[in-house]
Formats: sequence, structure tokens, C-alpha cells
Amino acid sequence: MTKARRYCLYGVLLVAILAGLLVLPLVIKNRYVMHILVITAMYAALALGYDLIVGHVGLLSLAHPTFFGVGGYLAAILSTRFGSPFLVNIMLGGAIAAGLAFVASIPFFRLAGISFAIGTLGFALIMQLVANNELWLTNGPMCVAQVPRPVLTLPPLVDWHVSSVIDYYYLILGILMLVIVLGWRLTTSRVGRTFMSIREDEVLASAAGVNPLKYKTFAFVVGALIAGMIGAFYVHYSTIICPAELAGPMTTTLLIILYLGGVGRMRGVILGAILFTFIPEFLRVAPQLRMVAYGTLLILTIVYMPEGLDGAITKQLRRLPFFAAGPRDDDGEAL
Amino acid sequence: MEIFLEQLLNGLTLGAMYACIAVGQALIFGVARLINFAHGDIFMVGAYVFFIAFGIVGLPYPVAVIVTVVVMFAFGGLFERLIVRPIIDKPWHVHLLATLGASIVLANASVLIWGTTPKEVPTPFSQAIVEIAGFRISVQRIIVLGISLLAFYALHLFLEKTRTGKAMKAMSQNRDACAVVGIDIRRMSALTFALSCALLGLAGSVVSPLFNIHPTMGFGLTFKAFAAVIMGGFGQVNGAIYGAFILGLTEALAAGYVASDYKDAMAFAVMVVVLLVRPQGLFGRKVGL
Repeated sequence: MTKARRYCLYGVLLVAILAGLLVLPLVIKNRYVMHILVITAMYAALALGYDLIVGHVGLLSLAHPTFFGVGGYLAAILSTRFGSPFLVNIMLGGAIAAGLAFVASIPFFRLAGISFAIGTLGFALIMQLVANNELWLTNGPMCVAQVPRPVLTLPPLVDWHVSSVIDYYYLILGILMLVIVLGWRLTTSRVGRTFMSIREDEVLASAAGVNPLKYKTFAFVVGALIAGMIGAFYVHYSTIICPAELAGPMTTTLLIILYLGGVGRMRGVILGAILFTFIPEFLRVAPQLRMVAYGTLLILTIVYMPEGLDGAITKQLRRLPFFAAGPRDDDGEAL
Repeated sequence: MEIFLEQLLNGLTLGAMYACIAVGQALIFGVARLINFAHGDIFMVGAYVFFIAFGIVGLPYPVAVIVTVVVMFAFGGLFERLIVRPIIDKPWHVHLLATLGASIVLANASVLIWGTTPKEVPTPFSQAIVEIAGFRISVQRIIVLGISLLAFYALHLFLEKTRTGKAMKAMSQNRDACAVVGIDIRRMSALTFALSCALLGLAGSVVSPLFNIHPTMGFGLTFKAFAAVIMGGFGQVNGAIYGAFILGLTEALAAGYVASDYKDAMAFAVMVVVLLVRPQGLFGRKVGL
């Protein structure tokens, strides 16, 4: 197995998966299944952005849903009150989340470890209270509802009224692909290696000439930017956003996706998103029972499988000759 | 003036409840170096144990309190054995995620068992009113204050006077040295959890007659307790008690005079500000409990 052939194989596999995803709506006629696919893709994109912060730089922020929610609220308010177009909303949603993350990062990066986690959670809970109480802005517990369906226009070429669930599927698939490419380019570059050096040992990294604060802020802001944009997409899909979206259950959902799939691993995070959103819809149980199962799984994973499902699967696969890790010669053959 | 005194009493009751939860947090953090995100949910379990003992089985109030405390003591030991022991030597993010998982499990399992409707557990004392210097006070509030202060004093004596208590204090100062001189670290850690949970059982059984109990009340209380612990300086029992009372009083006074909308934001804001400005806590640094 030479290196070239391995890459060829991966390339073919990726193209096949992408082609499969593109023709999926032709095969699946069930609207409900398509809806779950949209949610899965949304969570995958959101979790990938979150993983930049948690998995790559090693900052356990508990404020990620806040950036999602702030982007969503901005988009909802702009489109319901001023009728601003979808593309503008999604960009402003991302921008305000990124700006908020930048401002929040200034005080919070003075905290380390568990204090950072608790501090960001406090921030998230305060933002949720603001959304609950500032009725003039957010309607409070009545939520911002009736967000219009997105229309993508680029005359004379494009005039796409996104209305059916299949339209949304293609839209979020496009966004997910963008996030995957961005995340992949970022984490496999010099920046990505710097992220990891900070995660492993911040003091050592700064001794080696890295400015940890700069890279931490960068990862935090990029993660928030993605979250804000996904949030804006979300309100245009669900047509409603409520204060609960700013903290609470979403935090645990994201953590479970990350740690169940494999934190810091792109494949793992996507796997986690699929497991968390797609499969349970077909196991018809009470949502609380599902949460009990997920809580138990989270504990078991973190204790017995710290690298997540992806780590465990990779470990098993490595035993097969085809996937074997270890030293290789120039052609990529195992030595 | 009347409003002020009423809110003051409200604040003290709230503070006593927060203090019972925060003391356990501080004890656990001091001895086991673990931040327990399920602490508020264990308080919720305690409240429901009391509900079973008093509201369903119909034991007399003092017996129900004792039963609750004993059951929660055992629950704490079990919690330590099942959740804490496998993770105690791992880094802090594992602690956070595992205890957060435990919190999710407890809260949702409780919804499955009890439903989301809040439960009332009125005792004969919650209706009884005494007049002190012209002010009408519910007897249950006096019980809350009296019992919790008594419990804190007992805890103080335990930590200062008994061999086991001293061993706990020593562990909070230097774990490794304790292991060297032959203190059974695991037993101590299990005992710390059992004690903290017993305290939660006590808090649950004196407080729940005043407030309704519901399965999801734990998460918010965990953070109120965090705020108190952070104000008092991580892992300091006395600091946590002062912090809890300050928090309870400010919340009650803010609800009475300013806006009750942002009553809960107070705890989180205090938490964030203290972490940023005075991470060693409001009352100065000291090593150990």
C-alpha cells in the first residue's frame, strides 16, 4: 500500500460519501427523516466549531450555546423587524457572536482550568436571563417567532426560495462542508499544531515562542463565528428562538457529542453528532429516559473510553494490517 | 422597615439553604480536590427522600429528618464509590464531565419517577407562626436557621476536635503527606462525600417544607453553591458559609427592593466578578479547610 494509493482510496471514499449525501433526498421520501438529517448536519457543524475550542486548544468553554443563541437572536430580530435578507443575517449573526466572544475572552482568559469553565457557564446563564427579561428586545419567554424562510438571490443567476426540508438539507450540507474544509485546513496547518501545543502544555508552548493568548482568542472567536452563523441558520429553519437556546440542555448535548464521538477528532465529532441526533429518533423512548442513558454514557465514556468512539474504533482498526500504524518507509509501506 | 425585616429573614433562610449545599461543595473540594456538578441534584434527591419518608410513609417529622439524613449518608458513600472513585485521579475536566453526567442522570431519572409537577411537603411547623417583638415568623424558618447553624457548629467541632476530622483537614492541606503518615485517603474521601450528602439530606428535610420541590431544581442550586464557594475561597468551609449567607441576603434584598427579574443573575455575576478580581475569595487565602 503506497502513500499515493492510500490517499487515492481516501479521496474516492470522500467523493463517494459526498455523492451519497447529495442524492440522499432522492432516495429518502420521508420528510421527517430529512428533518432529522438537517438537525444532524446542524449539530455536526456546531460541534466541529466547538471542538476547535475544546478539543484543539483545550479550553472547556461552557458558553458555546450562547454564541449560537446570540447569532440566532440577531438573525431573528433583524428578519422579523427589518426584513433583512438571509445572507446578511447569517453574516451579522456570525459577526456579533464573534465580537461577543472576543469581548468575553478578554476577562475570561484570565481564568484557567475549572475557573474558566465555571466562569463561562456563569456568562451563559446571565445571557439567558437577559434574553428572558429584556422583553423589548427578545420577547422574553414568548420567544421570537415567525422568522421568514430564507431566500437566496443573486440576480440574474440565483433565485432560490428555501422552503422545503430538502432545500434546507442542501443549504446546511453546504454550510457543513464549508465548516469541515475550514476546520480541516485550520487543524492540519501550523496553526492547528500550535493549538495542540497549547492544549498539551501552555507554559511549554509559550517558552517555545508561541503566544498562547493570541491563538486561544483566535480559536474561541472562530468557534463562536461558526456557532453564530449556525444559530442564524437555525432560526430561519425552526422559525422560532427561545431563551433556553442560550444555555442549558444545548451545552450538555454538545459535550456529549464531543466526548462520545471523540474530542479533538473531526471524524469522531461527526460520528457523535450522528449518534446523538439521528439514532435516538428511531428509539422511541421518553426524552428523559434518553437523557438518563446519555448521562450514563457520558460518565462511562469519560472514564473508560477517554478518546471517544472514534478513538476506540481506530484502535481496533489499527490491529488490521491495512490500517496498521507505525513507522513507514517513504512510500508509506509499514516497515 | 417591615419589608426590610421580612426580606432579611427570607435572606437568612435562603442563605442557610445555600450554606448547607456550599459547605458540602467546599468540603469535597478541600478533601478530594473535586468540583461536584451534581451537588444540587443530590440535594434534590435528599428533598425527595424526605418527601417519601414524611409525605408518603407518614413518619413523624423528627424521625423523617433522621431517616433522610441516614439515607443520604449512605447515598453519599454510594455516589463516591460509583462515580467519584473511578475518576478521582484523573484531570479536572474528567471530574467536571463525569459529575455533570451524574447531574443529568439524577435530574432526568427524577423527572421520570416524579413527573415535572412540583411537590409540596407542608409540615405542622410551616403553618405555625410565632410573634417575636411584633413580627410574625413561620416556625419552619426558625427551624431552618437553628438546625443549620447547629449543624455547622457540629461540623466545626468535628473538624477541629476529632481524629477523623483532623485527618480531613490534613488531607485538604497535603494529600500525599497524609498518605505517607498512614491516613486512609480513600476512606476519608468516601467519608467526606457521605458527610456532605448527609448535610444535603438535612438541608432538604428542613427547607423543602418552605419551598416546593421539583426534579430540576438541582442545577441552579449547584451554581448558587459554586458562587458561595468561590466567594469564600475554593475549599474553605467557613468562607463558603459566609459566602452563602451574603448571597442569600443580597438575593432577598434585591428581590424586595430592586428587580426580582435579575435575582438569579446576582449569583452568577458575583461568581464571575470574584473569580476575575479576587480569585482567592473574599476573606483572604488560607491553606486547607
